[in-house]
Amino acid sequence: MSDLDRVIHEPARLRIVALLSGAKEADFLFLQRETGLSKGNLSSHLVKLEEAGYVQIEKTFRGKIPLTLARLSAQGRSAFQSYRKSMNGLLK
Amino acid sequence: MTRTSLYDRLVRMDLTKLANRPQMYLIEDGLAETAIGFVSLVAFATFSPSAFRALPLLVPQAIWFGGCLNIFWAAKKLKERVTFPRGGYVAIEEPAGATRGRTRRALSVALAFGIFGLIAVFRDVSRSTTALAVLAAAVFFAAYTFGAMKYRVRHMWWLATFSALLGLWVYERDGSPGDSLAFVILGQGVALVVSGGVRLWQFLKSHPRPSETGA
Repeated sequence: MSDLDRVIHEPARLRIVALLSGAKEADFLFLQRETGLSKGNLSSHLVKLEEAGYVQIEKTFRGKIPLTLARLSAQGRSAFQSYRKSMNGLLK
Repeated sequence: MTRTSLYDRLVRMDLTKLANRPQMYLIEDGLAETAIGFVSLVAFATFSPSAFRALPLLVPQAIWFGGCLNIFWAAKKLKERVTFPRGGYVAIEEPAGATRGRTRRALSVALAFGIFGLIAVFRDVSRSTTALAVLAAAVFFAAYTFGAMKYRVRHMWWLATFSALLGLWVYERDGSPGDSLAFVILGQGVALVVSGGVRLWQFLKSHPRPSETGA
């Protein structure tokens, strides 16, 4: 269990990372709807993932509406793959 | 290898499903289906025997091609204005350089063959026999069955069943063989537009527009 990446292992962050692994980028609304998290909760998890270097956040505008885009970094993708491998090994 | 229920729940099922979710989300609103349906209807309008005979060579193809470009442009705009404000924006990872180049080249060659094929086949529509119409219905049936199995979407089974029934009806019917292919194209177009419309309605119902407070 100690091999597991604790940043990704947390269920809400795991959902975020798994969703982003299948996308080039996604906005805050998509992640919020798909994870079922509140805005504050999702923000704090995204900040943690960004601090770990797993997610890149870009704040921009669509017209006059603020748009927060999130994408998985190369480091994040590799961490997610390693996590899945670790889980596979652990649950064999 | 022993796979526990925890493995199934956490690793195989949930994570794979979540990773595939962005791709599924992009087809959930039915806009792609509706667009393909309209492409078929434009094809029916331009390539049906009576319309085709009335127009000079290459004009039906040009109308159809222009119609396709407009339909796909409209679908893209609708996605930006209807889907993304309700369910959020997501973009799918494009294949990396070499793969993308190969895919584009293969698609260009396929498109060129397709256009020349259409010109050859529809130059004299009366030559499009019942066999070709049944073959077209079979191709649609195979495509829907593949989609239903790959993406696990129930409505594609309905479309596959409809294609099979359409193929059988075209095979059994008495009448001009030249009309058979036009009926298949019309049937597919109507089925796709209806199916896409229902999915769009369901999407709008399940995704009310949030207040525009931003994130």
